[in-house]
Amino acid sequence: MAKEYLGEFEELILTMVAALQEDAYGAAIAEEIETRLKREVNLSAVHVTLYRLEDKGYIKSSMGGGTNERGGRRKRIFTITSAGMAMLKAMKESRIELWKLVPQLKMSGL
Amino acid sequence: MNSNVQPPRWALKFLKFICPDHLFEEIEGDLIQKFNRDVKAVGEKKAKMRLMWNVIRFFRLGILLRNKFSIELNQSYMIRNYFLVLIRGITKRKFYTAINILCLTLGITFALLLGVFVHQELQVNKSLKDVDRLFLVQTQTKSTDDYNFFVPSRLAKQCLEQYPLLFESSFRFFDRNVTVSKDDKHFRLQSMIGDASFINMFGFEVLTGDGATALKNPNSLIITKKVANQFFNRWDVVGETLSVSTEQNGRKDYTIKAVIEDPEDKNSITDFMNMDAQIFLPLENYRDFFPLFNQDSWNDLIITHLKLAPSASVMEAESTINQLVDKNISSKDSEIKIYRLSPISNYYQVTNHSAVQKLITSLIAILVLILLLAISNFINISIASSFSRSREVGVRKVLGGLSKQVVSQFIMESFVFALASAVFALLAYQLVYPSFGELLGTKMPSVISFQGTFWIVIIIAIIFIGLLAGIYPAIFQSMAKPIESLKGKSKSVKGTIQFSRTLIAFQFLITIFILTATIILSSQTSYFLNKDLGYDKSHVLIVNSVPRLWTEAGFQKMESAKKEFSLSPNVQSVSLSMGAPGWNFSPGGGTLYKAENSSANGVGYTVTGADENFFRVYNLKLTDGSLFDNSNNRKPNEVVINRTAQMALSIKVGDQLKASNFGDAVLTVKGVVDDFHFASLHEKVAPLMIVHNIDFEAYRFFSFKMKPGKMSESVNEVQALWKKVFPEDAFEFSFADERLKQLYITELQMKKASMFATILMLVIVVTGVLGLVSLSVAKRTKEIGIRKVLGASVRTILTLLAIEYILLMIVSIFIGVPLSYFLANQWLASFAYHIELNWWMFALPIVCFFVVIILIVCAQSLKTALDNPVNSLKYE
Repeated sequence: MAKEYLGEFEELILTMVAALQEDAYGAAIAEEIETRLKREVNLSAVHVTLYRLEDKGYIKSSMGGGTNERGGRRKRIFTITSAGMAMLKAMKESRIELWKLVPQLKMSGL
Repeated sequence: MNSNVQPPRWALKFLKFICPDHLFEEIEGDLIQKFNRDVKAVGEKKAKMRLMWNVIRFFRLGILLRNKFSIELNQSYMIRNYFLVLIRGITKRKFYTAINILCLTLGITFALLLGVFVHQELQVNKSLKDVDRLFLVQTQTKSTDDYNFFVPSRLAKQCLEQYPLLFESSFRFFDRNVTVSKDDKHFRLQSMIGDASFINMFGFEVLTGDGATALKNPNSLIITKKVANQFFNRWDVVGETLSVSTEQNGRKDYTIKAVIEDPEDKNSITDFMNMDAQIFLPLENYRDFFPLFNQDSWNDLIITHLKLAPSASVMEAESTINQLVDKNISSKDSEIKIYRLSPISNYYQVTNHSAVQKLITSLIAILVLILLLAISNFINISIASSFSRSREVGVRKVLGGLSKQVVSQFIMESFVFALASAVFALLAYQLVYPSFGELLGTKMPSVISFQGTFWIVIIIAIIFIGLLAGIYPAIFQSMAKPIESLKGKSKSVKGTIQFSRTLIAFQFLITIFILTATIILSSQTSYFLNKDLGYDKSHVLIVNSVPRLWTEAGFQKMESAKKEFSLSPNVQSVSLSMGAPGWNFSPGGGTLYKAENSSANGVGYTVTGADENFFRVYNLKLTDGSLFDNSNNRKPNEVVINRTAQMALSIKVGDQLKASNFGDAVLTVKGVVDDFHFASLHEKVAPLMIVHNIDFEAYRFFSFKMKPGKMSESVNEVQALWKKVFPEDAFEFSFADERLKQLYITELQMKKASMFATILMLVIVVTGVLGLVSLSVAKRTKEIGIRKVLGASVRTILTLLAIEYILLMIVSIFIGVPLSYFLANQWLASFAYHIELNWWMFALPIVCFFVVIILIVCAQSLKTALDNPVNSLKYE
């Protein structure tokens, strides 16, 4: 576990999967990132990352329902696994640990 | 929502193609969702663009690799299985495997041999520098369509000076057969006496010396590596001298200035008209050979090659030359002649009535036919043996095999066969290429020296053959319904049997066609060689290395030599002449007309020189007048003409003639001889005039009429005499009848290749029929047993089995005979003298082939037919 790392984009996608819960599928994740972070993401990049995370065991997927807007095609809904949740937490904590080491920020906080 | 707007379909199709199946639905859904939102947000056009872009972005490793891995695993397992089944099949059906491989190997070997030969023939001249811009200047006589390559010597210079934008360089030359000596080594060699541009223009590789300036100074020499080795046993011989026999100044020393690599065989520069020139003299030395020649005149003629400028058009260059000629030559000559530029790049193929071109076309046709025969054998045997495999296919399908997989299995098998045959064929090629090359009279390359592109062609050919041979059996097997194939019967059998019958009929057709073609071809070539040519060519020895001293002293020396030779008891008579059978008979021609008329009423004719003995040596028949008198009381300018000339101008003995290439000299007709064929039988006999050597001021050959008997002894004796009379000249000879074969070299090559093809084809067809018959007999063992139990005789059973092949044979005869009759007529029509088609030429091969096939069918089925029916009914 300690040897596993996530890239920045992978972490972002994993977080989005955790946040969106039942609504976590490719197009929705891409859209959320675009609206919330004002960041251009490519649909194929989102998909490839999702599959990679699934390979690593951080998320799992199942087929959901289709909508008219999707031409009747079903969605693949991703849910975060406990390993994924643990990974997210570990990453968040290590970030905060490092955060605390930054001196200037401490001063300005005072 | 705007439901009218649809995403472009091809984009989604492309996605489906690259995307793994289990991921496709959701990705497509996401894309459509995004697209629909984009339509609302940014409009239809932009949305479509974005969709396409997004689809293209899915073409990435992260998606593609997910695809491949899963399938590849599965596939490689199946391929292992296919190989296993294939190897088991091969060991189980050894006989049919052997037939398949044998036929394909034979076919591919032959194709390879012919392919390499054809490739070589097409490559001739391609190694010359800038070959696409090289042209030979020729004149075409408008009325007779005759080509001549002697053009005014001033022409090339004028072209280069006046139109530097059209013409880049020129090379003019004469050819001369000379004796070259160093100490006591004498060789008769072909020389070219030409411009200094020789090396630069054609790009021959210079081994040592300065090729560019070598021919600038008189008395210098370029020689080939071969000649250098002949004289010195080494090739760095710049600075050495060789003495050359010249016609005007006798023996003369020339200094070697450069040595070139041996030029490529058959190139149309040094091997122009098959002369195979080995040494090259500067044109500056023309006085040693042609004292009256002027190299800057519109009246003196020479052979000229021109190199056009890179951007020049041939049409423009041609019309420029014709304009120049019109301006500078009297209108009379330019009216009857057009100047043409013949490209060197295909000169070898189209010269001599496109003989080589025709040879190449026929060889390619034979090559394709033989390959098709071998492939159709393969298809037939796979179809016939497929019944034993239909159960296997049925099991495969029941276990979930797809049609696609069955097709790929069968095609893979035929690939393996094609590949194995190709490997065998390459080995076979390596074994037979030297003798095949000898057969066709050329050098063939070894497999090791094949070029990269050649290997690519071979690989493509193997893929093509594998596909062609495998596709039909594969599709036919894959289409069968599993239940039927498991039960061992198939509804599609009927169609396949039709197909396989068509293939056999096609094989029979090709066989009959090639058989008749071979017979007609051999008859025509033997007709060429055996036809009564109007002269006696037996026991005639021709010496072509006669020292050429075309002066009064020279003629006197020849006269005394003749006397010396005729003393020999084995020599009946000796003649000195300008031409000889199989050698260039006449150095040229022009227009012949009656002295009282103008040249406009003349006919095109050829002229040659001979002495009074010539007619006796070759036994030419005098029809009117008399022959030349003995040289002592000979009158100048008396000529003998042939019958064609007599008819063309209605000449009587004693008439006065004039000829365009004899200036104002008036010639008197002394005698008329019957027509005779010194040139090849491709062309009609032309009007001919024979002038006495002394009036012609030239000679080239000694012809010895020997007494019948021991020829080798007589040759030795003549050779001994020759050494005595001409100690400094080589003795090079040929027999008239042997030498004549030179004229028909392409026909002889064609004949040999087609004999070879006939044998191969018979082997392929016969083994193919053998395999088919034995398969069909094996399938009908039970039926034959039942028939015998019911009282059928052996004969009826044999007829039953043979009738199918007899019917197919009859069909192919009905198509094949008219086809080969038509094509043979076309081919024969291209010769001025040819055989008449005869019924036996078609009947003989058909009967032979018929008998062979019936024998095979009977031999194969006789065992089953004779067998005790109990055995065959017990079968299974």
